[in-house]
Amino acid sequence: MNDLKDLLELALTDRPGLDPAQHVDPAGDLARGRGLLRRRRLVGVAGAATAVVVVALVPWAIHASGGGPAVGAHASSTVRSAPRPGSASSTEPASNPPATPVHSIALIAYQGQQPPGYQVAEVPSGWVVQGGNAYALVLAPQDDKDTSIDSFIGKLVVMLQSQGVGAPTVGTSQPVAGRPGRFDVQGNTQILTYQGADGRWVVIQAPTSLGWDSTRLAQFAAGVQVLGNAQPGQG
Amino acid sequence: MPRSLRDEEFSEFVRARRVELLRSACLLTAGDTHLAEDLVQIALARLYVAWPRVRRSDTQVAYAWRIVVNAHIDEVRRPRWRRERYVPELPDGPGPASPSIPLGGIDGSAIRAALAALPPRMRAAVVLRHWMDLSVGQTADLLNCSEGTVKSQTAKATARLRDLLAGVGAAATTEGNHR
Repeated sequence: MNDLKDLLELALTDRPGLDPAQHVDPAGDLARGRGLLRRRRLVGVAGAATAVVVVALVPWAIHASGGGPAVGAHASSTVRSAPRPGSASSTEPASNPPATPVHSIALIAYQGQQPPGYQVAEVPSGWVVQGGNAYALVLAPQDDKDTSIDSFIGKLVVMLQSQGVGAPTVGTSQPVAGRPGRFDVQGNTQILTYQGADGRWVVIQAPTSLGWDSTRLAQFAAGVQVLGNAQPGQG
Repeated sequence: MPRSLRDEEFSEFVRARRVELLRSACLLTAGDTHLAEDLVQIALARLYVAWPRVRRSDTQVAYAWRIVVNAHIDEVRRPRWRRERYVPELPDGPGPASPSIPLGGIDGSAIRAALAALPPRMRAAVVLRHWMDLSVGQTADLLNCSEGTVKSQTAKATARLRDLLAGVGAAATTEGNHR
Protein backbone atom coordinates (compact mmCIF):
# COMPACT_ATOMS: atom_id res chain seq x y z
CA MET A 1 0.00 0.00 0.00
CA ASN A 2 1.23 3.52 -0.79
CA ASP A 3 2.13 5.89 1.96
CA LEU A 4 -1.14 6.97 3.53
CA LYS A 5 -0.38 10.67 3.38
CA ASP A 6 0.27 10.45 -0.36
CA LEU A 7 -3.02 8.67 -0.82
CA LEU A 8 -4.89 11.31 1.16
CA GLU A 9 -3.20 14.00 -0.92
CA LEU A 10 -4.34 12.20 -4.05
CA ALA A 11 -7.93 12.27 -2.73
CA LEU A 12 -7.81 16.07 -2.92
CA THR A 13 -6.11 16.58 -6.25
CA ASP A 14 -9.20 16.76 -8.44
CA ARG A 15 -11.49 18.56 -5.98
CA PRO A 16 -12.30 22.20 -6.81
CA GLY A 17 -11.23 25.06 -4.57
CA LEU A 18 -8.52 23.20 -2.72
CA ASP A 19 -5.42 24.55 -4.39
CA PRO A 20 -3.02 25.49 -1.57
CA ALA A 21 -1.65 28.38 -3.62
CA GLN A 22 -5.00 30.05 -4.25
CA HIS A 23 -5.73 33.57 -3.00
CA VAL A 24 -8.07 33.72 -0.02
CA ASP A 25 -10.36 36.69 0.60
CA PRO A 26 -11.25 36.77 4.32
CA ALA A 27 -14.22 39.15 3.88
CA GLY A 28 -16.88 36.44 4.04
CA ASP A 29 -15.48 34.79 7.14
CA LEU A 30 -15.02 38.18 8.73
CA ALA A 31 -18.65 39.11 8.11
CA ARG A 32 -19.91 35.78 9.44
CA GLY A 33 -17.75 36.12 12.55
CA ARG A 34 -19.01 39.64 13.19
CA GLY A 35 -22.59 38.52 12.72
CA LEU A 36 -22.18 35.68 15.20
CA LEU A 37 -20.51 37.99 17.70
CA ARG A 38 -23.31 40.53 17.36
CA ARG A 39 -26.00 37.88 17.83
CA ARG A 40 -24.27 36.50 20.91
CA ARG A 41 -24.00 39.95 22.43
CA LEU A 42 -27.68 40.63 21.82
CA VAL A 43 -28.58 37.32 23.45
CA GLY A 44 -26.22 38.11 26.33
CA VAL A 45 -27.81 41.48 26.92
CA ALA A 46 -31.29 39.99 26.81
CA GLY A 47 -30.25 37.18 29.17
CA ALA A 48 -28.68 39.55 31.66
CA ALA A 49 -31.73 41.75 31.53
CA THR A 50 -34.00 38.78 32.15
CA ALA A 51 -31.89 37.82 35.16
CA VAL A 52 -32.16 41.35 36.54
CA VAL A 53 -35.92 41.38 36.05
CA VAL A 54 -36.25 37.97 37.75
CA VAL A 55 -34.15 39.11 40.70
CA ALA A 56 -36.27 42.22 40.98
CA LEU A 57 -39.56 40.38 40.69
CA VAL A 58 -38.89 37.53 43.12
CA PRO A 59 -39.10 39.62 46.31
CA TRP A 60 -42.05 41.50 44.87
CA ALA A 61 -43.82 38.23 44.13
CA ILE A 62 -43.09 36.92 47.62
CA HIS A 63 -44.56 40.07 49.10
CA ALA A 64 -47.59 40.03 46.86
CA SER A 65 -48.33 36.47 47.88
CA GLY A 66 -47.95 37.26 51.60
CA GLY A 67 -44.51 35.73 51.88
CA GLY A 68 -41.58 36.59 54.16
CA PRO A 69 -42.01 39.93 55.85
CA ALA A 70 -38.43 41.15 55.70
CA VAL A 71 -37.99 40.58 51.97
CA GLY A 72 -41.53 41.70 51.28
CA ALA A 73 -41.07 44.92 53.19
CA HIS A 74 -37.96 45.72 51.22
CA ALA A 75 -39.64 45.00 47.92
CA SER A 76 -42.65 47.05 48.90
CA SER A 77 -40.56 50.09 49.73
CA THR A 78 -38.62 49.65 46.48
CA VAL A 79 -41.79 49.74 44.43
CA ARG A 80 -43.16 52.75 46.25
CA SER A 81 -39.97 54.74 46.00
CA ALA A 82 -40.03 54.64 42.20
CA PRO A 83 -43.23 56.22 40.97
CA ARG A 84 -44.64 55.12 37.66
CA PRO A 85 -44.96 57.64 34.86
CA GLY A 86 -48.32 59.37 35.01
CA SER A 87 -49.03 58.14 38.50
CA ALA A 88 -50.44 60.75 40.89
CA SER A 89 -49.53 58.80 43.94
CA SER A 90 -46.34 57.10 45.04
CA THR A 91 -48.33 54.49 46.96
CA GLU A 92 -49.13 52.14 44.10
CA PRO A 93 -50.66 48.80 45.06
CA ALA A 94 -48.00 46.14 45.48
CA SER A 95 -49.63 44.07 42.73
CA ASN A 96 -48.33 46.45 40.07
CA PRO A 97 -45.07 45.55 38.31
CA PRO A 98 -41.88 47.41 39.22
CA ALA A 99 -41.69 50.93 37.97
CA THR A 100 -39.98 51.97 34.75
CA PRO A 101 -37.61 54.93 34.65
CA VAL A 102 -39.39 58.26 34.63
CA HIS A 103 -36.45 60.22 33.28
CA SER A 104 -36.45 60.45 29.53
CA ILE A 105 -33.31 61.74 27.86
CA ALA A 106 -34.05 64.40 25.27
CA LEU A 107 -32.82 64.36 21.69
CA ILE A 108 -30.54 67.16 20.59
CA ALA A 109 -29.08 68.02 17.19
CA TYR A 110 -25.80 66.33 16.39
CA GLN A 111 -23.09 68.40 14.79
CA GLY A 112 -19.99 66.25 15.30
CA GLN A 113 -18.13 64.01 12.91
CA GLN A 114 -20.21 61.37 11.15
CA PRO A 115 -18.93 57.80 11.16
CA PRO A 116 -18.67 55.74 7.95
CA GLY A 117 -21.82 53.97 6.90
CA TYR A 118 -24.32 56.07 8.82
CA GLN A 119 -25.30 59.66 9.54
CA VAL A 120 -27.32 60.84 12.51
CA ALA A 121 -29.28 64.08 12.82
CA GLU A 122 -30.00 63.86 16.56
CA VAL A 123 -28.43 62.13 19.54
CA PRO A 124 -29.56 61.74 23.15
CA SER A 125 -28.48 64.68 25.29
CA GLY A 126 -25.20 63.87 27.03
CA TRP A 127 -24.46 61.04 24.62
CA VAL A 128 -21.77 60.91 21.97
CA VAL A 129 -21.10 58.95 18.81
CA GLN A 130 -18.59 56.51 20.24
CA GLY A 131 -17.58 55.12 16.90
CA GLY A 132 -18.71 53.05 14.03
CA ASN A 133 -17.92 51.31 10.81
CA ALA A 134 -19.80 49.87 7.89
CA TYR A 135 -21.48 47.32 10.17
CA ALA A 136 -22.64 49.36 13.13
CA LEU A 137 -22.95 52.85 14.57
CA VAL A 138 -22.47 53.00 18.33
CA LEU A 139 -23.60 55.82 20.64
CA ALA A 140 -22.94 55.89 24.37
CA PRO A 141 -23.10 58.27 27.33
CA GLN A 142 -20.26 60.77 27.24
CA ASP A 143 -18.71 59.39 30.44
CA ASP A 144 -19.12 55.73 29.53
CA LYS A 145 -15.96 53.88 30.57
CA ASP A 146 -16.66 51.10 28.09
CA THR A 147 -15.24 52.70 24.98
CA SER A 148 -15.05 49.56 22.85
CA ILE A 149 -17.35 49.80 19.87
CA ASP A 150 -17.53 46.00 19.91
CA SER A 151 -19.45 46.21 23.16
CA PHE A 152 -23.11 47.12 22.81
CA ILE A 153 -24.21 46.80 26.42
CA GLY A 154 -26.08 49.89 27.59
CA LYS A 155 -25.46 51.63 24.27
CA LEU A 156 -27.53 52.87 21.37
CA VAL A 157 -26.62 50.87 18.29
CA VAL A 158 -27.70 51.20 14.66
CA MET A 159 -27.05 48.39 12.21
CA LEU A 160 -28.49 46.81 9.12
CA GLN A 161 -30.61 43.68 9.46
CA SER A 162 -28.50 40.59 8.80
CA GLN A 163 -28.63 39.15 5.31
CA GLY A 164 -31.30 36.55 4.81
CA VAL A 165 -33.52 37.89 7.60
CA GLY A 166 -36.76 39.32 6.30
CA ALA A 167 -39.25 41.77 7.70
CA PRO A 168 -39.75 41.58 11.48
CA THR A 169 -42.83 39.82 12.79
CA VAL A 170 -42.53 40.28 16.54
CA GLY A 171 -43.39 43.34 18.58
CA THR A 172 -45.81 46.17 17.94
CA SER A 173 -46.12 48.29 14.84
CA GLN A 174 -44.08 51.49 14.96
CA PRO A 175 -43.68 53.29 11.64
CA VAL A 176 -40.61 55.42 11.06
CA ALA A 177 -41.10 58.41 8.75
CA GLY A 178 -44.06 56.65 7.19
CA ARG A 179 -42.19 53.42 6.55
CA PRO A 180 -43.09 50.14 8.26
CA GLY A 181 -41.35 49.18 11.48
CA ARG A 182 -41.84 47.10 14.58
CA PHE A 183 -40.88 47.82 18.15
CA ASP A 184 -39.98 45.12 20.65
CA VAL A 185 -38.56 45.02 24.16
CA GLN A 186 -36.24 42.23 25.30
CA GLY A 187 -35.26 42.69 28.93
CA ASN A 188 -33.78 46.15 29.28
CA THR A 189 -33.17 46.47 25.56
CA GLN A 190 -35.58 48.06 23.11
CA ILE A 191 -35.31 47.00 19.51
CA LEU A 192 -36.80 48.96 16.64
CA THR A 193 -36.61 47.32 13.22
CA TYR A 194 -37.80 49.45 10.32
CA GLN A 195 -37.46 49.78 6.60
CA GLY A 196 -35.01 52.46 5.57
CA ALA A 197 -35.47 54.87 2.68
CA ASP A 198 -33.48 52.56 0.39
CA GLY A 199 -35.62 49.52 1.26
CA ARG A 200 -33.08 47.86 3.52
CA TRP A 201 -34.16 46.92 7.04
CA VAL A 202 -32.44 48.81 9.82
CA VAL A 203 -32.17 47.64 13.42
CA ILE A 204 -31.79 50.07 16.30
CA GLN A 205 -31.01 48.70 19.71
CA ALA A 206 -31.56 51.08 22.63
CA PRO A 207 -31.25 50.58 26.39
CA THR A 208 -34.38 51.24 28.45
CA SER A 209 -32.22 53.50 30.63
CA LEU A 210 -32.82 56.19 28.00
CA GLY A 211 -36.40 56.30 29.23
CA TRP A 212 -37.67 56.37 25.67
CA ASP A 213 -40.89 55.00 24.33
CA SER A 214 -41.32 53.63 20.82
CA THR A 215 -42.30 57.05 19.47
CA ARG A 216 -39.11 58.69 20.74
CA LEU A 217 -37.03 55.85 19.38
CA ALA A 218 -38.76 56.26 16.01
CA GLN A 219 -37.97 59.98 16.15
CA PHE A 220 -34.29 59.14 16.59
CA ALA A 221 -34.55 56.58 13.78
CA ALA A 222 -36.05 59.15 11.43
CA GLY A 223 -32.84 61.15 11.77
CA VAL A 224 -30.62 58.20 10.89
CA GLN A 225 -29.42 57.98 7.32
CA VAL A 226 -27.98 54.68 6.16
CA LEU A 227 -25.35 55.29 3.53
CA GLY A 228 -24.55 53.10 0.58
CA ASN A 229 -21.38 51.71 2.14
CA ALA A 230 -23.20 50.36 5.20
CA GLN A 231 -23.11 46.58 5.19
CA PRO A 232 -25.35 43.99 6.80
CA GLY A 233 -24.01 41.09 8.81
CA GLN A 234 -24.32 37.65 7.30
CA GLY A 235 -25.84 34.52 8.77
CA MET B 1 -10.01 44.17 22.27
CA PRO B 2 -10.38 46.77 19.49
CA ARG B 3 -12.37 45.43 16.58
CA SER B 4 -9.82 46.67 14.07
CA LEU B 5 -7.02 44.65 15.67
CA ARG B 6 -9.22 41.57 15.96
CA ASP B 7 -10.25 41.91 12.32
CA GLU B 8 -6.69 42.39 11.17
CA GLU B 9 -5.32 39.38 13.03
CA PHE B 10 -8.27 37.19 12.14
CA SER B 11 -8.04 38.13 8.44
CA GLU B 12 -4.38 37.25 8.44
CA PHE B 13 -5.17 33.88 10.00
CA VAL B 14 -7.87 33.19 7.41
CA ARG B 15 -5.53 34.05 4.55
CA ALA B 16 -2.84 31.79 5.91
CA ARG B 17 -4.87 28.83 7.14
CA ARG B 18 -8.24 28.63 5.43
CA VAL B 19 -7.26 26.40 2.52
CA GLU B 20 -5.41 24.07 4.85
CA LEU B 21 -8.49 23.80 7.07
CA LEU B 22 -10.70 23.23 4.06
CA ARG B 23 -8.46 20.49 2.67
CA SER B 24 -8.44 18.69 5.99
CA ALA B 25 -12.20 19.09 6.36
CA CYS B 26 -12.64 17.74 2.84
CA LEU B 27 -10.84 14.54 3.85
CA LEU B 28 -12.97 14.35 6.97
CA THR B 29 -16.10 14.50 4.83
CA ALA B 30 -14.69 11.95 2.38
CA GLY B 31 -14.54 14.48 -0.44
CA ASP B 32 -17.77 16.40 0.14
CA THR B 33 -16.48 19.91 -0.51
CA HIS B 34 -19.83 21.56 0.23
CA LEU B 35 -20.09 20.03 3.69
CA ALA B 36 -16.40 20.77 4.26
CA GLU B 37 -16.99 24.42 3.36
CA ASP B 38 -19.92 24.55 5.80
CA LEU B 39 -17.79 23.09 8.58
CA VAL B 40 -14.96 25.54 7.96
CA GLN B 41 -17.33 28.50 7.86
CA ILE B 42 -18.82 27.43 11.20
CA ALA B 43 -15.38 26.96 12.70
CA LEU B 44 -14.04 30.31 11.52
CA ALA B 45 -17.10 32.24 12.70
CA ARG B 46 -16.75 30.72 16.17
CA LEU B 47 -13.03 31.33 16.09
CA TYR B 48 -13.67 35.03 15.42
CA VAL B 49 -15.86 35.21 18.51
CA ALA B 50 -13.20 33.44 20.60
CA TRP B 51 -10.30 35.34 19.07
CA PRO B 52 -9.36 37.45 22.14
CA ARG B 53 -9.02 34.21 24.13
CA VAL B 54 -7.01 32.20 21.63
CA ARG B 55 -4.99 34.79 19.72
CA ARG B 56 -1.92 34.70 21.94
CA SER B 57 -1.98 31.04 22.84
CA ASP B 58 -0.99 29.80 19.40
CA THR B 59 -3.90 27.40 19.49
CA GLN B 60 -6.05 28.96 16.81
CA VAL B 61 -5.67 26.05 14.42
CA ALA B 62 -6.36 23.48 17.13
CA TYR B 63 -9.40 25.47 18.25
CA ALA B 64 -10.74 25.70 14.71
CA TRP B 65 -10.03 22.07 14.00
CA ARG B 66 -11.79 20.98 17.21
CA ILE B 67 -14.91 22.81 16.03
CA VAL B 68 -14.66 21.22 12.59
CA VAL B 69 -14.38 17.72 14.06
CA ASN B 70 -17.17 18.21 16.59
CA ALA B 71 -19.46 19.83 14.03
CA HIS B 72 -18.87 16.97 11.64
CA ILE B 73 -19.54 14.31 14.25
CA ASP B 74 -22.68 16.20 15.32
CA GLU B 75 -23.73 16.31 11.70
CA VAL B 76 -23.41 12.58 11.15
CA ARG B 77 -25.18 11.89 14.46
CA ARG B 78 -28.27 13.81 13.42
CA PRO B 79 -31.25 11.55 12.84
CA ARG B 80 -31.28 10.27 9.31
CA TRP B 81 -34.74 11.69 8.57
CA ARG B 82 -33.49 15.19 9.35
CA ARG B 83 -30.35 14.86 7.37
CA GLU B 84 -29.64 15.55 3.76
CA ARG B 85 -27.92 12.67 2.06
CA TYR B 86 -24.49 13.73 0.97
CA VAL B 87 -22.85 12.04 -1.94
CA PRO B 88 -19.25 12.93 -2.68
CA GLU B 89 -19.62 12.31 -6.40
CA LEU B 90 -22.38 13.32 -8.76
CA PRO B 91 -24.05 10.15 -9.98
CA ASP B 92 -23.92 11.17 -13.63
CA GLY B 93 -20.75 13.22 -13.61
CA PRO B 94 -18.24 13.17 -16.42
CA GLY B 95 -15.62 10.48 -16.50
CA PRO B 96 -11.95 11.15 -15.85
CA ALA B 97 -10.30 13.31 -18.48
CA SER B 98 -7.48 10.83 -18.92
CA PRO B 99 -7.70 7.06 -18.95
CA SER B 100 -4.43 6.85 -17.09
CA ILE B 101 -4.84 5.61 -13.53
CA PRO B 102 -2.24 6.95 -11.13
CA LEU B 103 -0.64 5.16 -8.22
CA GLY B 104 -1.09 1.65 -9.45
CA GLY B 105 -4.67 2.04 -10.55
CA ILE B 106 -5.98 4.11 -7.66
CA ASP B 107 -7.38 7.58 -8.31
CA GLY B 108 -8.82 10.26 -6.07
CA SER B 109 -12.42 9.12 -6.34
CA ALA B 110 -11.46 5.59 -5.27
CA ILE B 111 -9.70 6.94 -2.21
CA ARG B 112 -12.64 9.17 -1.34
CA ALA B 113 -15.00 6.24 -1.70
CA ALA B 114 -12.77 4.18 0.59
CA LEU B 115 -12.71 7.01 3.14
CA ALA B 116 -16.50 7.26 2.94
CA ALA B 117 -16.72 3.57 3.83
CA LEU B 118 -15.08 4.25 7.19
CA PRO B 119 -17.16 5.25 10.23
CA PRO B 120 -16.82 9.01 10.85
CA ARG B 121 -14.74 8.77 14.02
CA MET B 122 -12.44 6.19 12.47
CA ARG B 123 -12.00 8.46 9.46
CA ALA B 124 -11.31 11.40 11.74
CA ALA B 125 -8.63 9.40 13.54
CA VAL B 126 -6.89 8.63 10.25
CA VAL B 127 -7.04 12.24 9.06
CA LEU B 128 -5.81 13.65 12.36
CA ARG B 129 -2.96 11.16 12.72
CA HIS B 130 -1.80 10.70 9.15
CA TRP B 131 -2.79 13.94 7.41
CA MET B 132 -2.41 16.51 10.15
CA ASP B 133 0.43 14.61 11.83
CA LEU B 134 -1.09 15.01 15.29
CA SER B 135 0.20 12.82 18.08
CA VAL B 136 -1.89 10.04 19.58
CA GLY B 137 -2.45 12.21 22.64
CA GLN B 138 -3.55 15.23 20.62
CA THR B 139 -5.88 13.08 18.54
CA ALA B 140 -7.38 11.49 21.65
CA ASP B 141 -7.93 14.95 23.10
CA LEU B 142 -9.68 16.19 19.97
CA LEU B 143 -11.85 13.11 19.65
CA ASN B 144 -12.52 12.99 23.39
CA CYS B 145 -11.46 9.37 23.72
CA SER B 146 -8.56 7.38 25.16
CA GLU B 147 -5.19 7.05 23.46
CA GLY B 148 -5.79 3.30 23.20
CA THR B 149 -8.98 3.96 21.27
CA VAL B 150 -7.11 6.22 18.87
CA LYS B 151 -4.48 3.54 18.26
CA SER B 152 -7.00 0.81 17.64
CA GLN B 153 -9.21 3.03 15.45
CA THR B 154 -6.24 4.13 13.36
CA ALA B 155 -4.97 0.57 12.93
CA LYS B 156 -8.40 -0.71 11.92
CA ALA B 157 -8.89 2.19 9.53
CA THR B 158 -5.53 1.64 7.88
CA ALA B 159 -6.24 -2.07 7.42
CA ARG B 160 -9.69 -1.33 6.05
CA LEU B 161 -8.36 1.21 3.58
CA ARG B 162 -5.68 -1.23 2.49
CA ASP B 163 -8.30 -3.90 1.75
CA LEU B 164 -10.62 -1.52 -0.06
CA LEU B 165 -7.91 0.07 -2.19
CA ALA B 166 -6.20 -3.23 -2.94
CA GLY B 167 -9.44 -4.39 -4.52
CA VAL B 168 -9.72 -1.21 -6.58
CA GLY B 169 -6.10 -1.41 -7.69
CA ALA B 170 -6.44 -5.02 -8.80
CA ALA B 171 -9.62 -4.29 -10.73
CA ALA B 172 -8.03 -1.28 -12.41
CA THR B 173 -4.93 -3.23 -13.31
CA THR B 174 -7.05 -5.98 -14.87
CA GLU B 175 -9.05 -3.41 -16.78
CA GLY B 176 -5.84 -1.75 -17.95
CA ASN B 177 -4.44 -5.04 -19.20
CA HIS B 178 -7.55 -5.63 -21.28
CA ARG B 179 -7.19 -2.21 -23.04
